[in-house]
Amino acid sequence: MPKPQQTATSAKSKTRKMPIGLILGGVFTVLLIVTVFLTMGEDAASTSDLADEYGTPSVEGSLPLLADSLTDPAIGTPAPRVVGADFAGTPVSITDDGRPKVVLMVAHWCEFCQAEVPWVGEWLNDGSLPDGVDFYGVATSIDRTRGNWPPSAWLEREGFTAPVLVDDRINTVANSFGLPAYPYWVIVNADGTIAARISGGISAADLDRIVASLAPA
Amino acid sequence: MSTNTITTFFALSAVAILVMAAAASVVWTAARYSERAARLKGAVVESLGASAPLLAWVVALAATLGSLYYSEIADFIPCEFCWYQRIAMYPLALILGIAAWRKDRDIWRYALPMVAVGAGLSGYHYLIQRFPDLAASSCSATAPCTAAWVWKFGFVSIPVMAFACFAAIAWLLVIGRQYRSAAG
Repeated sequence: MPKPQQTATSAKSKTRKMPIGLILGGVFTVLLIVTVFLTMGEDAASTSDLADEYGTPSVEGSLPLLADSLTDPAIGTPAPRVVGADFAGTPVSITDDGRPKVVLMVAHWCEFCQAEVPWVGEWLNDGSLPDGVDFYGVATSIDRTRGNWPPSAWLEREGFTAPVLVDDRINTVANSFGLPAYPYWVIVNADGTIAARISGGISAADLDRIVASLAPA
Repeated sequence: MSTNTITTFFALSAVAILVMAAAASVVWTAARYSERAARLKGAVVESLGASAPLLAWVVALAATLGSLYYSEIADFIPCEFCWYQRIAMYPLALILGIAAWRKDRDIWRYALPMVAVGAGLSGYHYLIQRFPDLAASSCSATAPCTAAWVWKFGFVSIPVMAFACFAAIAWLLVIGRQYRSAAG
C-alpha cells in the first residue's frame, strides 16, 4: 500500500499540544501556596493586635450638608457642640467657649487628607497659629478595612500635634457639621457661629488668611 | 478565611494573568517575524483553543463572584466606576456561559466590545486611583472612586484585578476564534 502523502496542512497540524490543564492547575496551586505563605500569621495579628479606633463623642446641634461654600446657609448659625476624646482618651471638646476655632476633619484612607495633614502639621509646628485661635483635628470615617490604618499612627507619624477628636463608627461628628467630602474645614467665629465651611484641600496661604481673620485684634 | 487572604490570592492571580497576557502579546507579535514564535503561538492556540470559551466564562464568573464578595461580604462600597465595570463584566458571566454551552463561534463579536469597554473603564479607574487630582480635589463622603479599598504589592487595586480579568477574557476569545478558524 503506498504511503499517504504528507500535506502542508497535516505538517502544520503536528504542532505540539501543551498540557494546558496541568499548567493552569500548577499555576493555581502555586498561587494558593504563595497566598498561604504571605498571609500566614498576618490574619491573627490584624484581628487581635489593633483595636478599633472609634470614639464615643456626644454632639448637640447640626448643620445642613455643605453644597457650596460661597452660598452656605450655615454661615452665621451656631456650630454644633461636641464633647469627646482623642485616641489616648484625653478629653477634647469643640464648644462655644468664646474662642475662634479652625476644625479640620480628615479620613485616614483619603489621599487628599494624606496630602493635607503633613503640611498642616508643619504649619502648626512652625507656630503659624495665632494666639487666641484654637485648632482641632477630627479623625472621622475610621475604617480598618481601608488603607493607611490606624489613623492614630498616621497622625502621629505626620507630626500632627493639634488636639484630635475621634469620631464614632457612624461619623456622628462629621455628619453634624454637614461634611460632604474629605478633607473638610470648618471655621468657627469666637461667638460660636460658623464663619465658613470648605470641602477639599486648601493652601497654607489660605489658612494664613483664615486665621488672620479670626485672630483677636 | 479573611478578606486579606482572599485579596492576596486575587491580587496574585491578577499579577499572574497580567504576566501571561503580556507574554501572549509578545509571542503574537513575534510570530509575524519568527518561526519559533509562530510555532509557540500555534501550540498555545492548539492546546487552549478548544477550551478557551469555557475558560473565558470561568474568568467572567470568577470576576463577578469576586466583586460580589467584596461588596456583599467584605462590605466594600462600590463607587460609580466600580458599577460601570460591573455593567461590562456581569453580562459576560451569562453570555459566555451560554456561548460555551452552545459552542457559538461568533461570541467574540459580541463579547470583545464589552471587554474592550470594561478594560478601558478599569484602566481609567486605576489612573484616578494613582493620580486622584485628575478626577477630584476631595474624597466624597459616600464612595469616592479615587480611594482604593485594596492596594497590594504596591500597585494592585480592584480595578487592576478587573483589568486582568478583562485581558484574560479578551485573549481567550482571540485564541478561541483563531482555533476555530484553523479548524475550519
